[in-house]
Amino acid sequence: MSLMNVTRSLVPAGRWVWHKLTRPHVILGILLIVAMLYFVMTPLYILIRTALTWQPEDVRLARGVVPGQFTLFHLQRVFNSVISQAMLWVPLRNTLLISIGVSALALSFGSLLAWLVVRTDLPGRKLISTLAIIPYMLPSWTIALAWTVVFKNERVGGAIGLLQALTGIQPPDWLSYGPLPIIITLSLHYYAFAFLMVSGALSTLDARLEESGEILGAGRWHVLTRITLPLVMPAILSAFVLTFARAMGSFGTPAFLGNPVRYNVLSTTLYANIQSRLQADGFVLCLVLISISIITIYINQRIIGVRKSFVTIAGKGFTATPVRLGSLKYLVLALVALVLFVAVFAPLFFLGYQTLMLRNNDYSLSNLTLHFWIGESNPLIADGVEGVFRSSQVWASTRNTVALAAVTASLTALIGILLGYAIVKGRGTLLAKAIEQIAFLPYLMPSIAFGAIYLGMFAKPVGPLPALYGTFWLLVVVSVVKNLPYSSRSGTAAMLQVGGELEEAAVVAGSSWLDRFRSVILPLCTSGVVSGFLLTFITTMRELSLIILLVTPTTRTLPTLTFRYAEQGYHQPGDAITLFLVIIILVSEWLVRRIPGAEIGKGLGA
Amino acid sequence: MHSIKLVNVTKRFGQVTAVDSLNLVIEPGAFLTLLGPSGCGKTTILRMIAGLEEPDSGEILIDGRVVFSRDKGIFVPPARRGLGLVFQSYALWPHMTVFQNVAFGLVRAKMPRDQVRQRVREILRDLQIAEMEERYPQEMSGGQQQRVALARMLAPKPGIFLLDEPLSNLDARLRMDMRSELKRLHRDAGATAIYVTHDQIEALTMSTHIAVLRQGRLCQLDAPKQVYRCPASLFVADFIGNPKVNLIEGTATQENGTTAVTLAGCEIAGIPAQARGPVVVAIRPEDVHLALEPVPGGTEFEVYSVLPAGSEMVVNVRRGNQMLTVKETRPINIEMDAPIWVTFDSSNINLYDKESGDLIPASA
Repeated sequence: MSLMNVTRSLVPAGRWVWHKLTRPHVILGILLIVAMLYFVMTPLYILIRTALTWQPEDVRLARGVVPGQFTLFHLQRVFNSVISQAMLWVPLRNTLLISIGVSALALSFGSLLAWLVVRTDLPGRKLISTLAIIPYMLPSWTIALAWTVVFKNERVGGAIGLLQALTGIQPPDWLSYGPLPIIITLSLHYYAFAFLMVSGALSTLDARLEESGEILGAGRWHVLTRITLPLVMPAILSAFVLTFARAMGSFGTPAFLGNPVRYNVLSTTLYANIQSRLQADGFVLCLVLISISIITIYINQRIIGVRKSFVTIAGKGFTATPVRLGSLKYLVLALVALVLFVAVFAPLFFLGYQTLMLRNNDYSLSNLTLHFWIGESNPLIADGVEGVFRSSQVWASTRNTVALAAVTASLTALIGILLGYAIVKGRGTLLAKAIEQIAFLPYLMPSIAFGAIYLGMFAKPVGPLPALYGTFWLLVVVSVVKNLPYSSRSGTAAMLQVGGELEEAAVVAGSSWLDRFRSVILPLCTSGVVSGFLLTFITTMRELSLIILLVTPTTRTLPTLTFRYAEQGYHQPGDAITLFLVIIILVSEWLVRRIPGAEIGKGLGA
Repeated sequence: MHSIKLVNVTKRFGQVTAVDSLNLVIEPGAFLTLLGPSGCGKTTILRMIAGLEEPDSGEILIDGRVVFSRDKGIFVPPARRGLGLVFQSYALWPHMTVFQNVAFGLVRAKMPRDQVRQRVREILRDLQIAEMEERYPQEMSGGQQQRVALARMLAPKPGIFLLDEPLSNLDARLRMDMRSELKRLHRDAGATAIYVTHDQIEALTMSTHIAVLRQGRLCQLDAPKQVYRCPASLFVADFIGNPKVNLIEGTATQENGTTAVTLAGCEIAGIPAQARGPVVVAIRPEDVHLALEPVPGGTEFEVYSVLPAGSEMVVNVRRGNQMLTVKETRPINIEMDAPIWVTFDSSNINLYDKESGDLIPASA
């Protein structure tokens, strides 16, 4: 074959390959993969590199330090040295205890509540299911702060709590601080996962499956344990993994309730290490957190992998005859009401009360003041801290918070649609699978560790990106990337609903890709991603663990400002800001809810 | 008027071969129906002609111009193939009004605004949905949505209509009305139409040509009458016709230049096909005649069931193990379990090779 012929046959072949590669979803998919690899893998690489090389600050710790050279020094320091106990093993034990405790408590309560709401004749079920999600929308440390208001003791807390003021008994340390209150308060926040997922599974579960069991003579208990429970097991397991991972990465609550008695967990130890400029040691702890998370998710997938098929059995589901609670009805209602009161109203009330107290030890009405809300700076009170509504710092943080939430939620929604498009259009191809897998990666990393891996990144300009450290945009990037797993899932779901033919109809009509994306796909997806937008907006607004390591005084958000105040022992301003944040969250939730089709539970989508 | 030609077109989805080296020529102005059971590849063929799906090999030509050829590296995008498409789901954009839906393609084709308005009004009037211009698709009935989908296809005046089961979501009455309307639209526009359906009645009533498909292969391409009267294979014979054709194994013998078959103990002589030995006999239910009294040449059967359906009735009769389905148009009174005498219209009987299932041709 002459060279002429070869080129002649190569040209059409090349044209064909070019045609295949320039299809919009392929280009988009490749761009997304490159971007995601850059934003997920690069920081992870920098993290590992930092952990395995000498750092300039190591000079004060060891001899023969050559910054930049490979070393196992940090690994050894964390895993096998005199400080390993304090640095790793004790916090690790505490972290596991708390994660397991929270998972167990949150799962039992959440699942039980889900069953009560979906499957029984409990009065006020609708109201209960609305109220039940509120604790999840609030910052996770709200309940922890409220706990200290009531249970703190004079010895450790410096001032007496409400309980001591009313009864005169000083609460023991184990009740005021440490694992017990951490587990309880985190559970009251995280039970929402189990509640939403299990009630979702229960309400799509075909009641006829249960009814056939009953017809065949199984008793109610038998049906519950042998039919219902196995069928909702996948949902319960997913909720477990989610709760476990979140509890492990949570920072605010362990800091507020653990630090006073030096009860350290991995997240707080990690924070302390990085604050004392022991970045490399902190990064080793990050890797430990990420490893535990990966192992948990791996085990979960092994178990669910076998059981997943159950989910498909769940059909539309007929409204089942509710289980009659009989004489227990009002007792159960009272218990549920009590827990919801403790989780929703009591914390807000106690926090509110504390913000009105001029002096810390005095719970009498004569001590009430609005100073911490609207007062001018007075050097005699709390070192001259102004009322939150007067503080320019609070207003700047409010702007930051709302802007961060709005930008993150919008970008997340848009990227979700793009991801969904690339995944759904390329369904079955390697490219689509790769996108799905990579978008899932941030899920494996606990929030505080994920924030930490961005510390080293963007300190200097990288490629086209300027140095982002200390800017608002770094917070946006980390928040958007951390949300990738959820956005890809909700985007895929939305895109599946849009269906291929609506786009193809536009193709036939001669619409270019950009044109049909703008005029057909985007408008049709909007309603599908509204729930996701709402969820991202609210969770970003109250985010602490993810960004605590990355904020600077100019980019502070309300949650991080709260933490700053609480760290310095200014309870009233911290509580006031938390309450202010809660109000902003509830109002935005109420506003976004006006949009038809928006529902926070839907956005969870996990 | 536009012709379409598919040359050796193959399309695979993973391991499944949806379309297997298909050759198909569609005459200008034809109304061709792609007919076959679900999964036979008919929608894939339509989508490949539209350009929404790309064959793995082969060529597609429209008016002699290659619009797809992998070997030559040619791919003409759908919008430049001069065709319109109606989807089974209609695929109307729910966030656009009827007007916006129909105008979409015109606007993309850079038609001036006042002309767009004029053309959309005209087409909506033709389809009798002029007053629905400002409505959204979900505010309309299924039949009206169907009309919007048609209007959207017709608006840019395409030379080729591609219709993917457009009537399958309508109720039976509306379907009847739309069939005649579609036929009219096709004639008035002078377009070439390709119509995908699994409903053989639709295929028989509307087409100038029917292509019967099975597992991605073309079984027969003929005029509807021919497909019905002389199905090329047992598969086609079995697929076309309602009630179904009677397929009975029998033995053929030669008598005075014509063929006779023996089945279920009775002999039918005077069959045009030339055959000898074991065959499959295909008898349409309307080619079997019933008599309540013994008739010459009649064989006695027993009435198994009677299914009246207004203008006609379907009678199943039995002799030993042999069942026959009969279409009876006379309003006679037939009792279940009663004896009945059966004769055959032998000139319409087809014989098939028992091995290959192919039609045995009639003697010239």
